[in-house]
Amino acid sequence: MVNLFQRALWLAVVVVTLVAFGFAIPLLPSFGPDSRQLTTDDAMELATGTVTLPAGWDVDIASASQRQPVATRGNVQIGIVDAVWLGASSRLVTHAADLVFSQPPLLPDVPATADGTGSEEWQILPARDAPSGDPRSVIVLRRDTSVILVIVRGPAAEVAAVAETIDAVVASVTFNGFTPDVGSAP
Amino acid sequence: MKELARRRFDVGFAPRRAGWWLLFVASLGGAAMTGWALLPGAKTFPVAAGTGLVFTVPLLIGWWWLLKLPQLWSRISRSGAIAAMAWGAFAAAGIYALPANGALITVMGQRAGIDVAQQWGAALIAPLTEETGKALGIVVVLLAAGQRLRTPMDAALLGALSAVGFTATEDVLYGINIAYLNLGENEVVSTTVIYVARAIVFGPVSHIVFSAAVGAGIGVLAVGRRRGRVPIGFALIGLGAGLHGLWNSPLLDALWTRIAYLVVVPFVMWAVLRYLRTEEHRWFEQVLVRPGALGAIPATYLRTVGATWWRRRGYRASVVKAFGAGAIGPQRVLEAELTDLADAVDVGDQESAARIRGVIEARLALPS
Repeated sequence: MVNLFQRALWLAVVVVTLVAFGFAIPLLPSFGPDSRQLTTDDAMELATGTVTLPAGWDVDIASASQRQPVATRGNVQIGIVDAVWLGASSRLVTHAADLVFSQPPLLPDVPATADGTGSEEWQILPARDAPSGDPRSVIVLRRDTSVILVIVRGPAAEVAAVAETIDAVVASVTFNGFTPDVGSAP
Repeated sequence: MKELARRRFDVGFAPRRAGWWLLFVASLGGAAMTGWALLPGAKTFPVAAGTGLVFTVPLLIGWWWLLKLPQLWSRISRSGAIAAMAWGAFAAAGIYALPANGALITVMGQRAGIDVAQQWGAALIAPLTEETGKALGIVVVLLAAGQRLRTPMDAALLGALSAVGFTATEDVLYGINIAYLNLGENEVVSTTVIYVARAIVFGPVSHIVFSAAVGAGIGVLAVGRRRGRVPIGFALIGLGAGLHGLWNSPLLDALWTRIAYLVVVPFVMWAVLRYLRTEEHRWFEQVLVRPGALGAIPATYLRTVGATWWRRRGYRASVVKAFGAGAIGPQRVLEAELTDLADAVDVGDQESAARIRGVIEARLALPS
């Protein structure tokens, strides 16, 4: 039988690590910066491609580190989400709208035959009475089965003021195919 | 070895042990934290979450059955196995991995840069948090059961069982993640694909393998009987964590590297298993050569119990050749009884040892 001292020691080790991993380590990011301001245009890796975020914008470190970058300037936020879609683009746009908007938005007129062959770009806009928390626009980019959503949030006037920058972000998206991540990653 | 009568690590209901409370409370807390983490995804994609839970049943049963196969020298009790799995599924996943992984990857992004975190975050952080969490399941089950390790294989098996629980939780999470990734296009199909990929295609190089290696290393450090146990113990821990990190790393981005990994790792684990078998055999011999351990049973019978399945098969074949097919059953029983006797002697269970000794002596018609 393991003696009492050894048992007490191991008990303490387990309790200390439980507290460390469960409660102390999750606090560590709060001791560092939440975001980093880009000094130059910066190409960010996504699961299905890359996107270049513009200089001068703040990038959220937590989301960017996990390949879902969110860039902010003032009250305008650009979020990038990538996805995979096998079916018709009309259903893709509907599904994306359901996930992102809290109320039915204005959907683009997507031809029933559109299936991602070549490159596609669709824009979803909020309904006139949409709550302020809903995106100002969602741009759906698709090439074959790879999809990247550019989600823009913020007050209408401020979003309009950076419209060219948003267009540049959308134009910077490149697709590199999709490798499913089915490993033991967190 | 189904003929073995004795079971190891029976946890049962033992509220007088602090370790039992630790297991119970941490698993309960981990279950709450796991639920908290998975609930938003499960609400958004209920079909993916439900499909994952359905697949969890055959996943657990399959690994339960597979992990019985290496139990040649000991049998893990049902309660001990369930306790290890519960720790892995809830405490290791919900407390060690889910809160810490994202936080540490963010810290890496803050300190080393976003690019580094994107490339190496999962490779460097997951082995640290996840292997630590799963491996401590070995310690907690021992504390809850009030037992100690007997051979490194005990620790390897408990580590593997802890990893079975962990992977069950992680697979549900991956099912939900993949539903996010395809915007919920077909949740049943995407979840099925993820389970087939993780449980079947990549099963031989999964969490269970990583944690078995880490557990083996802990076991060698704690109760190893061969020379060089300290470097070998640390090497095995490094092997488990290293295989995990390599699997998550960008070094395996190319398909051929994944295939090479899939081919090589089972051979590495086979070598680890061979090492553990020799440790078990050494334990068996060293315990039963203690004065009085065998009673009237001739020491020569110890040589009839081979270290590995293959050696036992070879010996049994010679028994069948000499005494006919009917002799194989008694030979298996003798192997099990001698192993049970070694266990009873080793844990100081004199009463059971005397009983088993008497049974063997009676069967062999030896003077007691």
